[in-house]
Amino acid sequence: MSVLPTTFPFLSTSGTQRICLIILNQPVDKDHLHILWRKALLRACADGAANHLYNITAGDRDNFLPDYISGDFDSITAEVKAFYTDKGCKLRETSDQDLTDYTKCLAIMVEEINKQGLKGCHRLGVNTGLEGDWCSLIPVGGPCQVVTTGLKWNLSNQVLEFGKLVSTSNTYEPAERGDPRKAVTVSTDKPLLWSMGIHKNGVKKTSQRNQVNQNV
Amino acid sequence: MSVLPTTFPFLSTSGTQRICLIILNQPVDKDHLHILWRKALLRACADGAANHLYNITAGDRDNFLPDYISGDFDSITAEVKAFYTDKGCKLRETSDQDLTDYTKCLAIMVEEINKQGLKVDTIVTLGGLGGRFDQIMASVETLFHALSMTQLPLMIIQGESLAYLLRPQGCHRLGVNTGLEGDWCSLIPVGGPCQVVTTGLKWNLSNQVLEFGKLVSTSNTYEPAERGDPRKAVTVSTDKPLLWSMGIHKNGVKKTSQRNQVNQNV
Repeated sequence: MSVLPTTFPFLSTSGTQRICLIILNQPVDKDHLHILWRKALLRACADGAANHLYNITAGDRDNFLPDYISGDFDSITAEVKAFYTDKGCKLRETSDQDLTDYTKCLAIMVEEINKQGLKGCHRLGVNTGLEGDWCSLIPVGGPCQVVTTGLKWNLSNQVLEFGKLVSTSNTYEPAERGDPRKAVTVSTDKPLLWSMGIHKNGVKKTSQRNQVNQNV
Repeated sequence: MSVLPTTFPFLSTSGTQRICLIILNQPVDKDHLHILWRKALLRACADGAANHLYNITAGDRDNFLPDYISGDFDSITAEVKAFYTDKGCKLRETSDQDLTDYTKCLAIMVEEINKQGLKVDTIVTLGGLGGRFDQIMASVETLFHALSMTQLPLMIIQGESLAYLLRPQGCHRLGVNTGLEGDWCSLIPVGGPCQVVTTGLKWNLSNQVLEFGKLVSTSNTYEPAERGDPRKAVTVSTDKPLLWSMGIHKNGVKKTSQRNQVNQNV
């Protein structure tokens, strides 16, 4: 079975993660934005997200120009649209009413990644020290047969299903003293939603103060 | 096919709905609390919910004493716990780690309703749709468990959202004509695919399958009413449990687009 390693790029200012960034029409967290923007090969806004980006980058807007803004443009203001167009950002109009702005933005992102030639068992690195203390596996969409390691309450080929068993308020297997926390591994036969707590860079939980030399 | 009429009791300060109220460990909306508390035959807090209740009822706490507070008491503060105990509120400790505080609080509520022989229309929950994502999902999971715990409808309200899991039985008839509905509604097949028929929505389903990855009905809205007519009820039938969710406003805060409605029965 192929191993699909996954780490959570936003958690660290350093690291060699290559990401592409989509911003949606919600208030933008400045700290997350700065860290992710720097690491991103491509950056896009879905419609009204451009308004939030425009506002939160006041004074430094030229360093935060998205590669494209997509959507039906019923949320972006005329002023913001004009600003980014003048700066050379592409506008990709998508008027299909059966798909959300997010889905359409993602479709364009995938197309761009392929066009520009950019690049089983999931292995989740959870050892940056910036994880929160909870995690969960949520079978949204239908039952999943799941195997995990590295969690406090692991699953051994059990079925997760709403109405029967949903793994919420789970947490990580405690690490041996001095050792880094083990990666979490998850295999599933259907799409399974992983969700976890995170802290902003620099805000560590008091319970992790014994961890030394965190690779941040 | 049996028709299951449902209205949304919190939407109105008046009305003769008999409800039972569960408060969860989330910031409590004062307006919702006052309307629901008055209509409730029984009121309960799940653990740390008591802290929120205590804070938000400062100056008038004696009029907001829950019948019981349940949970493993790892969230309620010592001060709050002492206050309510002194006032005669029952503490029901539930230490089962496989069930959430919400599920356990609901089990006690159902037990009390049966024990006291109460006639109840709906069990309403305040909180459960905010904060940690996994805890929101845990609230939804409790809605699923509730299907086998009680025949009573169980709803969750927080902020401007309401969530209600529709049983796979009969045809649900949802009254959405109080004027306090928001302008969005949705049908979300959280647990698995559902075959669905609806009327009264802007985008109805005619025996289509709702399923994550294929089709999920979000940002739906209501069929526009003829001028002068009340908005029609929404009907939904489904072959599997299906999550109905809708926007709500506080009493008295009407949307400007509804200003043409006359004599709203509030």
